[in-house]
Amino acid sequence: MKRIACVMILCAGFTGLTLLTALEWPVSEVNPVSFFGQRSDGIIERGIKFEKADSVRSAGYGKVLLTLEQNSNMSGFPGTLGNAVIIAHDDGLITIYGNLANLDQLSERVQIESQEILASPGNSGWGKPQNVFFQVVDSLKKTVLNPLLLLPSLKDTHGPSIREVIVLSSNNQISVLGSVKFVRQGKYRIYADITDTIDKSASMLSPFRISVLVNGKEYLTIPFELMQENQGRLFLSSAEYYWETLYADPARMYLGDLSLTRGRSDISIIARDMAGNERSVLFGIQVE
Amino acid sequence: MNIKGNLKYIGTLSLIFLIIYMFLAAIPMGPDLFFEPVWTQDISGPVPAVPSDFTKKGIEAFILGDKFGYFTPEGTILSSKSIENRVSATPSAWTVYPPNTFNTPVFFPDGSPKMTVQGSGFVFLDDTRTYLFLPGGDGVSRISDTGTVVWKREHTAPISAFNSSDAGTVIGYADGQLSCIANDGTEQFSFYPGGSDNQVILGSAISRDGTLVACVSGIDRQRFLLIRITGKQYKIIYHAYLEGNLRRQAFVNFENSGSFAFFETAGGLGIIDCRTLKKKIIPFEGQIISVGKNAGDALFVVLSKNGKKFTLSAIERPDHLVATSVFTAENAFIIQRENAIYLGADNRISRIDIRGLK
Repeated sequence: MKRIACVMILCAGFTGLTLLTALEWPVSEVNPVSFFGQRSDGIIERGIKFEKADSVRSAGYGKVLLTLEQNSNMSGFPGTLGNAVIIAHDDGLITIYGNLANLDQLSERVQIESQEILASPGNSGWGKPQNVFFQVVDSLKKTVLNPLLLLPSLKDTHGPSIREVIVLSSNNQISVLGSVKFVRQGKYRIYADITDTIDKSASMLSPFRISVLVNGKEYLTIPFELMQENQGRLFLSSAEYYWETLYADPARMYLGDLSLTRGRSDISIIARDMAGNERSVLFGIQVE
Repeated sequence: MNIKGNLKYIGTLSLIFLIIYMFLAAIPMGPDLFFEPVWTQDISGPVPAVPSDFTKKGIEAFILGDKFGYFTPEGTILSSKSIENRVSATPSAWTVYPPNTFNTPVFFPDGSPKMTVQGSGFVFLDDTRTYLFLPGGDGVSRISDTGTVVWKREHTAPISAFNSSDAGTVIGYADGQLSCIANDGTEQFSFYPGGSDNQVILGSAISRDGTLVACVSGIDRQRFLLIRITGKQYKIIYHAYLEGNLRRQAFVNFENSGSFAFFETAGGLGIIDCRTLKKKIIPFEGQIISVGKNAGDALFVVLSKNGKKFTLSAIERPDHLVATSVFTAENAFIIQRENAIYLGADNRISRIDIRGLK
């Protein structure tokens, strides 16, 4: 399964296509309300949250590694996954299912078949009742993976949308790209409101990859593929994308730092979703 | 009568029977040792309208089903409130919050505001310490007495074990990492105990003085570890493979002096003498809910649960099971303060004293 996952990550990274799937959807009706990497409940979303699910199913064959029970007495800590089950698959891949109603159906069970019903959605974790939390972890490489890399493709003809692109100068002066024609040369932080939707859901979701090009050359990229830890903090794709920096602006996402030199600069932002739908915007500005 | 009503009735009878049973002490416990029921209070009725004195020494918090509140060692119920949401309560503070809470208020026992914990997540009051468990399941923040974040830790796997003392915090994760964090947020150690086919931390604890950490880890060749911390060094001073596999969270804790550690295994309750490193597994059915960690020199009392059957057990040091009693309840708790045991079951709280100790 790990090899398949690696192949898929590479394929997705370079071509935007999903060739193989290693896991099955953990719900029968796929209604996502948040995707990996997006702003969610004051953190970066670790997996996918689903709504309107009638049951929660194992995404693949494996063994029950651990069940976590909602703390209901004076001992123990209140885990925000609530009632949850963690299933170990091959090669260190683990899948996590949270906010379950109870763990009754898992009593004494060890081997779990793919698509076997684990539980009903509940109200045991942090968040909205009946939402199902689903996460995928590579326990050997110590990374949280975007589940979309391993799940079957979603029918999706909607491209991401890109709005409110701004650059913030070192003295905190905001320039809205598209409205300004001139900026001073120097270093800027670039922010944008970038979201995606899929055919079946009106929820605002995260895209799969964002790139910023300056004068046609790729300047920076944010792939929504995995999260890693650095000194007790999680970051998305590279160490500059911690929660505090990525979502410091309440309405936009931090894309990175730009260094603009005198002359004309064409700044392109390209956002792509997992299905390969792409949206790009181009801003031409004169740097003085 | 409906089922719930029947259960409450059975629970109350069971509790009364339990107290009588323990008083008569069917199992010999030595010539000088016996249990003495001191008081029993019903928490389902209204609390007297007279103002409660929350400044009394030794007040205790309770959570029982959909009720929480405070009582005194003398048996006065200071408060008993119905709750629909989550609650965390200690002798020094309490909080009640909904499942999607932001900025959670925390109160002193008398209901006056103490602080507001900023951010989203579940607030956990642990003795005098406050933590915020973050959405996503893999993060936790230590919160100051004014509600601000002192430190924050995230990891690439869900938190599966957690324990704290005045000296620090120990966190176990579902990928097998065990981390020990000092009060200022610096990492004292972080490592993977390994040694099992599947790595996972099922339970962990840190001693009151912060010199010892214990954990139950791994699936297939599950094992117990005892770790000594000296300054910035840590060393595994004892480990043992355990029979069978728990695939749920395991109870692990130290008694307050740090002389003994308790840990749950598939075969029962493990007790290790941290000085001699001698270990014994006492067979128990079901799940360990609590062990009286403030035992002083008294017996250890253990509360375990198997379905709706709770078992209250007494263990003479170092590891001799001297009494057990089974009762039926929906919810139960136990608090031990040296020779005083507070046992809660459904709508009643009782104090039982251990007498005859030298």
